[in-house]
Amino acid sequence: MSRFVATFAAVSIAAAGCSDDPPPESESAFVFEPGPAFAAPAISLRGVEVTSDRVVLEVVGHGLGSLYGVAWRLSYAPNILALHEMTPAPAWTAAAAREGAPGLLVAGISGTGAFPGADVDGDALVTLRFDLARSSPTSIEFVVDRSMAEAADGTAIPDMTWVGGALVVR
Amino acid sequence: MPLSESPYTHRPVANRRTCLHGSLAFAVLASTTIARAEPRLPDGLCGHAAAASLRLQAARILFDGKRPKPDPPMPPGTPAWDFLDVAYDVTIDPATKVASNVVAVSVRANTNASSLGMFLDEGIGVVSVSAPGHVVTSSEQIVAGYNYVTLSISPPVAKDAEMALALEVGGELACAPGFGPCGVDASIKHFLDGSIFPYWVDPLEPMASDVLSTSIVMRVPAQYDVVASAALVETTTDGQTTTTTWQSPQVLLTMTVGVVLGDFTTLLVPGLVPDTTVVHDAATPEWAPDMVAWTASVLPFMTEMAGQPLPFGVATIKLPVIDGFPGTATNGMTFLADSYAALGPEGFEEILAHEHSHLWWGVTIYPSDPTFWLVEGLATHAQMHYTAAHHHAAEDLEAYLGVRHRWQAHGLRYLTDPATLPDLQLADWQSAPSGQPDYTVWAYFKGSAVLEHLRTIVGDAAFLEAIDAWVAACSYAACTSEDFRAHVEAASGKDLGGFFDAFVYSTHYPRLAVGFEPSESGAVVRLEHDQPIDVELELVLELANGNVERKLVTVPPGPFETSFDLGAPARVVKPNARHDAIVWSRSAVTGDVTFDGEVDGVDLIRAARQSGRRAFDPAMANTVWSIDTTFDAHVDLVEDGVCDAADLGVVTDNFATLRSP
Repeated sequence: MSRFVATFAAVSIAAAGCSDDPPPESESAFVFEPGPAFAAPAISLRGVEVTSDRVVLEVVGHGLGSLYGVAWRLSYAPNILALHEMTPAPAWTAAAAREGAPGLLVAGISGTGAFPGADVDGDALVTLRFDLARSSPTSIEFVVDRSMAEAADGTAIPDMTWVGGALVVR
Repeated sequence: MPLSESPYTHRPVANRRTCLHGSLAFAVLASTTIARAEPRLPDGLCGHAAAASLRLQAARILFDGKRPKPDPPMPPGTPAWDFLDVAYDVTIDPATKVASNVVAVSVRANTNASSLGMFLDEGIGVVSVSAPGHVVTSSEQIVAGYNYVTLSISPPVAKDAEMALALEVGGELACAPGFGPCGVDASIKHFLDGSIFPYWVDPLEPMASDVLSTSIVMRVPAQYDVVASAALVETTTDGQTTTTTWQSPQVLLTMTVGVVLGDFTTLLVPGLVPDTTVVHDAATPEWAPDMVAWTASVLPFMTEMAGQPLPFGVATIKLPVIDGFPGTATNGMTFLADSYAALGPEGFEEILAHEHSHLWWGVTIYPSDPTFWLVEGLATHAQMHYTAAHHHAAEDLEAYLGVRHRWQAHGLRYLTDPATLPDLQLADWQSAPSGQPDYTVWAYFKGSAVLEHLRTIVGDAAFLEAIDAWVAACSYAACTSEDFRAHVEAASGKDLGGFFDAFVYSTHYPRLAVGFEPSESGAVVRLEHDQPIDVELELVLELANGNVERKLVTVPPGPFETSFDLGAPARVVKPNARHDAIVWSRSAVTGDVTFDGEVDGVDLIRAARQSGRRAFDPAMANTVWSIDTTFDAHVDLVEDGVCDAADLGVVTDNFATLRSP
């Protein structure tokens, strides 16, 4: 796992270092605002930290029984956010994340082999750290038709709700 | 007329006793976990570790693998003799193993013929032999538990002349443990060709067979019930000895006889004509009612597949566990041992389906060219389609069959060296693989894999129409793979010369790279393989609107591009998995195991889920039971037969490879 994280960090740091954007606006009023209320089963984003140069979010599972793995894509403004690293929760022994294009995070976590699945409800699956180029409002949304959660029996968990959020100025 | 015959593996006594059966279902249905738990299963299918047939051994004994030059010359494949009729009069006491057989043989010479061979149990020898107008002498040698007898005839029988041979053999049967042709230790005693019944060997074409008539008289102690592989004509008893008389108007030389003795209970299978029964040891009725129900389902399925009913009723003999004899089929008789109960009901039933299917593929129809793909391959094919139709009809059958054929795929690709397995059509019988698992993979797996590849291309309707025509034309007749091709071509309207050249008369495993670009209404598909042949296959296109379309394509050598207008963008383009044992496909995008042209979290999950799986268990590499059909070769990105961190690394190294926006 650490290998994956290290890889992603190197990639995303390199990308962040290319930014020529102006310095971020005031941190005090700039926050992550989760999306609207939802019903399980669901995966949502939860804000952990927003600073002048960093946004830390958790990808959180809700009402997911025997979860084996999750694949998702997130879209955001590439001139504001860039992936720095993803750190999976310990249960997920396989993980990968990388920007497939500016502003498009491609990610996945999974158990391996005979992993029996995990019951997830309100637990963070991964922590995402983004470099923040500037404190401008922007949405962070799941690409729903490219995201899926799979149960231990190999079936896709039906009727999933994917809930993103937005960086907003309050 | 001459037919040829197969080294039916399950006993060195070759013949057309088919068997692969159970084995198949086992690996596929039960996966390796169950397979490992059943130590009694044989290394190969049909119960014999050694796959070489007795007749192949005979060929080596007789002429060191080289066919003698007949005088006058005859086309290759023509045997020295045509058998016309054989009558057996057997007296046997299983308690003492003392047995005798008075045999009357009527044969016609196809050339000037001066010898005839036969295998007997090693305890049985020639008592007397004669033929009017000839001096017949015998010589014997012990070979692998058999007494191989050569009858020398002087003067030779002239071409087209007939000879009436009077032969008596007898002695004390050895029926050694593990010896397939006979056994007297279990509750059911069995006697097949190669025991007290001669297993005939033509001196020019040891694999040749004929259509002949037979009669059997069995004289046994009165406490035994008797069932023979023929129609019962008469039963009499004097209180000491029971005498039964059996007749068959036509049988193939290579499967002339199967006889069982015991204390039997006979169950009638309802609804089948002529009478069809399940026979079991009266003291062990377990599974017998199941076999009745399965037979009532299997035989109609196979009849529909074959397009015509069997010319005989069938006695299904439920065997106890007998070392060396797990099951087979012969004229009007199917044997199956309780060994396969370990598979559970569905697996056990599928094995029975395999054996019953041999009543067509092997017992009434036997190709005369050196190949087994239309015997063992077709039986394996039939058993899988039976189970699909009867137990998985509510599922996605294409997906089900794709997974089932991983048994063949892994056997061909990993368990054996695909570069060394011979073509389905052999140059000669001696080039058949002689060890395990090669023989099983070649005869059963490669044969059924090519049949599935073919069926997927021509479609179910044309394939089954061709099978019907094949059965109608080739029952008890000399037909070859070319005849089969002609029937499939007629039914499908396709020229299959290239297919047969590529996959029957030679061997190719095309490595196919599949790439595509979605369009507004379909996809532009790019395909490339590495073989100098045209590769036809069915593509499965999963569309953004949820529909699934299937399209046949013919991929020539070199890069090939084609487009499809399907009404919605394609999300996934992949070959039908039923081709996978023959066509080894990969996405053109490294690390894309789902064939959507991108590498993302779904690929990661697929690869992670396979982590730790092996194509086969190396500790059991001598048997097809080692194959794990849950192993997905598409995830084996480094192609080493193991899904592990190396494969996962290929996914992560290429992670987030997306097509251009």
